[in-house]
Parts: sequence; structure tokens; C-alpha cells
Amino acid sequence: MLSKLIKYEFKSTRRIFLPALGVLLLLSLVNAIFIALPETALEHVSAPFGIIMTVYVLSMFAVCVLSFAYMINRFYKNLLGDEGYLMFTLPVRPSELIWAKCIASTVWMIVTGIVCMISLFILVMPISMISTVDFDFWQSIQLVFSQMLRNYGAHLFLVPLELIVLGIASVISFCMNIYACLSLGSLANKHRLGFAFVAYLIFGVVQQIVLLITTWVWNLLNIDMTFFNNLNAMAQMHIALLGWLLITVVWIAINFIITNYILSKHLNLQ
Amino acid sequence: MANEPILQCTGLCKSYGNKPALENITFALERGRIVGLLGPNGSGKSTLIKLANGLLTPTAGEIRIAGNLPGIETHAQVSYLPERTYLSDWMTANDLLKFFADFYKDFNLDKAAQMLTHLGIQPNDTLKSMSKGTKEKIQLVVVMSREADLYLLDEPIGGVDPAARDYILSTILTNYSETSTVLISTHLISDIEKVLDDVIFLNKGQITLHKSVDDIRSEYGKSVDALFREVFAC
Repeated sequence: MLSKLIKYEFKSTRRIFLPALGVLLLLSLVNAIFIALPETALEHVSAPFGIIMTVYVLSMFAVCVLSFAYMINRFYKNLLGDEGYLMFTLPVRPSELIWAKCIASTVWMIVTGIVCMISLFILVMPISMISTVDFDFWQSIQLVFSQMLRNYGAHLFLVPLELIVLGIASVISFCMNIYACLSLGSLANKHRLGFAFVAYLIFGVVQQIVLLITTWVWNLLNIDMTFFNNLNAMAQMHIALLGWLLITVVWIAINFIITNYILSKHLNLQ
Repeated sequence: MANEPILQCTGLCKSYGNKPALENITFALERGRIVGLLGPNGSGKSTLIKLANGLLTPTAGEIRIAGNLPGIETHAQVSYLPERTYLSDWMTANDLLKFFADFYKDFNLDKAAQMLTHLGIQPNDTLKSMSKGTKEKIQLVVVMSREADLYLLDEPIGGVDPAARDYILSTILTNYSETSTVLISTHLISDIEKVLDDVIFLNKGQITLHKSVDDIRSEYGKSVDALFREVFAC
């Protein structure tokens, strides 16, 4: 059932995201054409270029806001609003509803990020093509890469992989935290979005307090860290990244449990 | 467990904050009946139906469908028509039919398509372009195209014109099987009286009467509509 829910989630979101991302790519392409123009020609079209560039920057900002706003909107409207009457009477578990929303939103946020990077790449393409260093540029990249491969070996792939996994986990934890806030807000009889915002602030404060206590306890325990300091830089990096990943996963679990508990045991659709 | 009541409430209470909506409701519905849940506005009809669907959580007591608390198993057995439109505007009527067919094993796609044609609804029109009444008709079509054990219909005829009302009532009558139960909440009693087997009167969150329509006629010597007007006279 989860796959069906995800299918419908994408079906209902893609009609907004695909055109928006398409427009962004188109705008970066138009801008790239302007940039590729010889300087004398560009002078004549500086006004439209300025406008198109402004529109491009704004639309980049807009797609980022869109992916954030849609993550909230889909959960709030489709689950906690009138559409929830249909979603919560489907023969599916609340946890499946939560994950379908979370997976779709995470994918759209990541896709939005990637498309923004591609659009920037398109934008600077004419500059790199015009410049004379391009041949040397690729060669020097190759050189640096092979040098790094010799120095770091498999770590060269492992560290970026860990960073990517951590990035994805961070997006998931961000979504799940917002869902937990919206669910907590839904327990109130009135001003549900207001209470959701208060819940978000409280989460932030709690996080800070936990951090403070952990640091305090850590200092108190005065653990001998020589074994860690004796490790090489790469091992330290792995431990730090994996530790961070573990904390993120725990944070996802806490927020998921809160959301799932409220939607399973204390659902109160108005 | 075919003899088990399809719907059973035991000491069911629900309050919104300090305001009680249902107080200590206990009753059971047998299979194969069409039951009218009748009461004035704010008497707790929708609250009761929402509790049966797990959209609300009881403050005290419990509600069971075929022996189970509301959950994934009961959702597969219950076909629910809410009092509001729950459709996503971007869908077409066809999308909605496919959605139902995808999630409910008991959904009869052909029957639903046939009913849409009969009501003159274009399957490829988006729901956004449709009137409120048309959306309500589509909702009823998909709900009644399921072969469920229990139909919970909250105000199914409130928003549609009298001509469509007749079609909807005949749809309800022709689409439910001998073993399934239909619970219809409404305050438009005269329109549905002829299809009902039993009635439940709900007033200020309490059941004041639960009898068969035949018993009411023989005991009180009047129609359900007349009795309702007498009991709930302002």
C-alpha cells in the first residue's frame, strides 16, 4: 500500500513541481544565451537581460520556497484537512501515510536542489566555454583527482557517500520534525497552525537544552580522548560523520514516533 | 462471527474540550438493516459516525465494527460518506475511480463508471470545474460502488436537489446487499422514511429512541417524521 500512496503523492505534486522546475531551467538557458552574446551585442540588450536575470534569481528562490511550502501544505491539507477524511479511512496504516508524504517531500526537496545546481551550471557554461583555460582546466582536475586517489584511496568515495547519506537523512529529519509539529498542533481545538509553530519553537529549545546537558555531562565524565586523537584524519572524519548520522536517525525516530502516535491514537479531524 | 453486531458502541463518550458531544452511548446494529440516525443539528450524529471511522478518538468507552476497534481492518469493511467534500480538486472523476479501485478491494469500477454516465458526469472533467452538488454525487457514487459490510452515510442528501435525492435513495437501495448495513444520518426524515428499517433518535448526545419503523407506526400510530417533529419540537 505504501507504494500506491507514494504513487498518488507524486501524481498530485508533480503537476506543480515539473512546470516550476522546467521554467527555472528554461530561464537559466535564456540567461546563458545572453551571457554567451559578445559584449557589444549584450550592451544593446542589457535591459531585458537585467530583467530576465532578476526573474531567474527570483524563480530560484521561489522553487526553494515551493518545495518547503508544499511539504507543509501536503501534510496539513491532505491529512489534517478535509482530504484527511478520505486518507484516514483508506485501509492503510497512519505510518504509511506519514512515510508516503515524507518520501515524496524529501525527493522533491533533493530534486529541487539538484535542478538549482544544474541551472547554475547551465548559467556558467558559456563562461567556461569562452575562457581559454578549459583544456588545462580539465587536465588539472584529472591531475588533482588522481593525486587525491593516491593519497586517500577508497576514502575519496566513502566520505562523499557518507555526506550524501547524511544530507538525505537531514532532509528527512527536517520533514519529520515539521510533521511532528503539525500533528502536535492538531491536538488543539483552535489555532492549530499557531500551536504547530509554538511546538516548533519548543523543539528548538529542547534541542538546545539537550545539547547543553550533553556537553556538561561530557565535560564532567572527562573521558580520555587520546585514542581518538591518535587516529588519522580520515578515521576521525568517518567517526564524526557516522556519529552525526546516528544522531540524525535518532531525531527522525523521535519525531516519527510522536507523529505516528498522534495520528494513530489521538486523531481529531474537525 | 456473522452474528456479531456490525456496529457496537459501549459507554461511548466524546467531548470537545469541556463540551460533551456524546454521552454514554450504548447500542448495537444488526446486519442487513437500513438505519436512520436522526436528530437535530448538533445532536452528535456526525461525531458518532466520525468515531466509527477512527477520525476522532473516544473520550471514554469504545466503538467496534464487526468486533474490531476502528483501524486498518475496519476501513476495508466500512464505506463512509462524510458530510463534507473530501476530494482533491486536481483529480478528474476518472482519477478518483482509479484511486478507489487501487485502495479498496471491494470497489466495483464498472458499476461506478455506469452510475457516473447515468448522472451525466463527464469522467475526464476535473473536480475543480464541478459544482458542489456534482461533487457530492460523485462522492456518493464511489462510496456506494463499494461492496462493503457497513455503509456510514453522513447527510447524503443534504446538498442535492430533490430530483437527485430520489436517484440517490434508489442508488442506496439497489446497491446494498442483504447482509450489509446502512446507517444514514439526516434531518430530512420525510425523504428517507420509506427506505428505513430502524431509526435511532439522537438528542444532545444521547440516544432517546432505538426502534424499528414498524414498531413506531404501531406503537405511536404516526410516521417517523411526525414523531420526530413531536419529540424535537422547539
